[in-house]
Amino acid sequence: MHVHLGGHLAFYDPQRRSRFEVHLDGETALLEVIRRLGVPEAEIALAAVNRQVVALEEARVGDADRLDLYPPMSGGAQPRRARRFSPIGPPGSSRGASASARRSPPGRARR
Amino acid sequence: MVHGSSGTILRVDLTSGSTSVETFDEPFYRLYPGGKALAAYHLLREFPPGSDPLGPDNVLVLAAGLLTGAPISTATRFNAIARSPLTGGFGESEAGGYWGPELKMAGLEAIVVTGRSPEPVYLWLKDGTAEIRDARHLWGQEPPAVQAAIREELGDRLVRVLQVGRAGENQVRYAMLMNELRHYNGRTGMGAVMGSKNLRAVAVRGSRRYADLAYDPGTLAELGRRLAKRVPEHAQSWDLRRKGTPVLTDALNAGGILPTRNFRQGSFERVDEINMAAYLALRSGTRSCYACAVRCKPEMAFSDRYTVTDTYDGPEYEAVAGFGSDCAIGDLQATARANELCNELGLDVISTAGTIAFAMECFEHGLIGPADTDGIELRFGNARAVLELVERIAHRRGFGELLAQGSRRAAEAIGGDAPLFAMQVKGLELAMHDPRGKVGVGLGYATNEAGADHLVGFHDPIFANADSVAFRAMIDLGISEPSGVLDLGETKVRTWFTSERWNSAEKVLGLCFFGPAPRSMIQVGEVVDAVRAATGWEVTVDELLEVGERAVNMARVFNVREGFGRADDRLPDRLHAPLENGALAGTAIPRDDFEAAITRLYLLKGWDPATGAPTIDRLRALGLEWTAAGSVRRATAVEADLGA
Repeated sequence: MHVHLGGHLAFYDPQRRSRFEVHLDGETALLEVIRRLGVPEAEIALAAVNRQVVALEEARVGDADRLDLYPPMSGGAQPRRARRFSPIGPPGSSRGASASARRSPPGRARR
Repeated sequence: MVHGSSGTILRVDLTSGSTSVETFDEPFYRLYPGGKALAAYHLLREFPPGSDPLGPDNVLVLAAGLLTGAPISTATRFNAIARSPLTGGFGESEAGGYWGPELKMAGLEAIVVTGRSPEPVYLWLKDGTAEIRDARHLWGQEPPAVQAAIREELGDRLVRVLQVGRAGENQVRYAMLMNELRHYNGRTGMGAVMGSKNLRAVAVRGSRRYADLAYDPGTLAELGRRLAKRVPEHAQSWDLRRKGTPVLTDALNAGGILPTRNFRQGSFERVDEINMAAYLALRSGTRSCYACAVRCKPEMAFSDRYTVTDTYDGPEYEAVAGFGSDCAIGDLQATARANELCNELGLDVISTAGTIAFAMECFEHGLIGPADTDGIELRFGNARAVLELVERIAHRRGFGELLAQGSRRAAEAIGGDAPLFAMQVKGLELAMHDPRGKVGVGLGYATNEAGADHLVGFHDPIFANADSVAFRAMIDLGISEPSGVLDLGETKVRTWFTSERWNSAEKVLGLCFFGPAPRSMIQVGEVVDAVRAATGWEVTVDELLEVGERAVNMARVFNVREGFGRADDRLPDRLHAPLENGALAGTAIPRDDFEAAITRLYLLKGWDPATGAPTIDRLRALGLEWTAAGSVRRATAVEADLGA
């Protein structure tokens, strides 16, 4: 199967490839393919099989297919529902420091 | 001392040929800390309402941001602000590169230019001194020759040159400014304003360092080192460096919103001839802005069906889609040549492409014919016609004279159904992002004081998945609830409003959108830390959001004063009609939902839903009560409703 990792999704390929071939033994769930590719599911906003937008949770793919995956940068067709918020801080984030930065310093008069 | 700033503004009256400097104090700078805020302040104070944008009374302000020139990636931007000759409203455009940082190193935060010189001149600024010099010999010359001549005259090859091209000299309403030939204040016709003043260029050289201005230079330097190391390890920045903005072409086409044939369609049948793979085959390298490790600026040089040199910036996504799919040209070489011509002639790529796509549709509908277009067969897909028209527009020659006025004015002149084909808001042509697949971008297009710009708020996909890296980077802005790309409900409006304030704050601070959220290479808390280190102020995220909101409100007050109201905050009718093809075929933005979202947005902003004008209470809360004096209409009738 031909795989195209659009945008920054190629960052998650160990060789940082945008376009490459993978071999599938028979029809496989798209989510399973994505797990094997090592691309975080949360970073995939759009999936197209043979240039048709598909739902991640439902699609199945085979060796002769072309798969395009795109991160949340573009917009357009939305095959998946918005997820509920899960409060996980990004790796290396300075959430602690900036959470305090949200508050005005004590005793300081704001305009 | 005002840390993070020289506290100095240069005033230039080109009519009298005089210059003077003014200083400001720290309380003032904390309200208007550079960039959009500082420039809007001077425009509002000094522009005589109703004056001709291309007349001597227009006030052109070039302002560096608070962090512009700081040794951290993406802190490179400066603003050009004036009344726009394209829209008649608040005109603004930002650019990166090297000129903004150099202005700061020369001991100036902003230049306020008024009047009109009787003869072409250029400005020479060096370490706080200013000189108006003869530029008659530079008028009509190509940008590389102008830059070289100025450096030769001044005996310094490191002088940074901001200039207009031929289009600016000729006052094409969407002429741009360029610095170092490669960085552009593209939108809203700031090049026409500068050209109308007979000001060909502004050359600047400074010997200071940002460390001389900063409260805590050590912390800033440490942050800069940390960010430089982070770029190759951060997915989105790594991607920007490797591919740049044209990476969007494939993605938008797949999503069904690649602007095609003047926004009639969302999918281009020849996308593979202009997409990322085609682009990488032609790109010859990348370059950087001042002290930025992202290094996303493309170089492109080839000689084949067309010849393109690497004198100017290579095509960004906007040029690829604008001259590619939107004009139905499946030839990246042709789009790259059109991009180069715009740069060489000093034209905004987006408005040029949008105006030509508009004219193509008029031609195909028979509203204009070869007798109007100087014999050019102006059909979609005709690359030679596009290249010919770009030149005619810049020189205002033949049919180019009409298109040099922009699509709105051209549509009014052509008549019939032509206004339906003009994809513009307030006169500014749409950027190459179709809001039918990301409706928050439509909110930005409609309500932005400068018109249909794509950098007003975050784009909707960022809001869609709470587990994505981009979404999590927004949590520190107080955004915690996701919303879909086609959602126009309360959550979307509220989060989009936050993103607008943040983007506006970035325009004040001088940060590029490829640094902080939503790209998130620079975390929100790190922006706060940078401002603290630069100034010594105990700022918070909330204060920065308020700084951004204050700048937006000044722009809005300017527009109200020039007669703009809610009726101007609308999208082209086409966006309320279905896309013709692609993954979103049949999708339109529901008009009633969109109007309700605008009302909701106004209420959040403390603006009158009937007129779109800021209420006096909101202005007072932002420290802007002074803007409500004189000719600014007050909209206080609905104040009681706003607390709800």
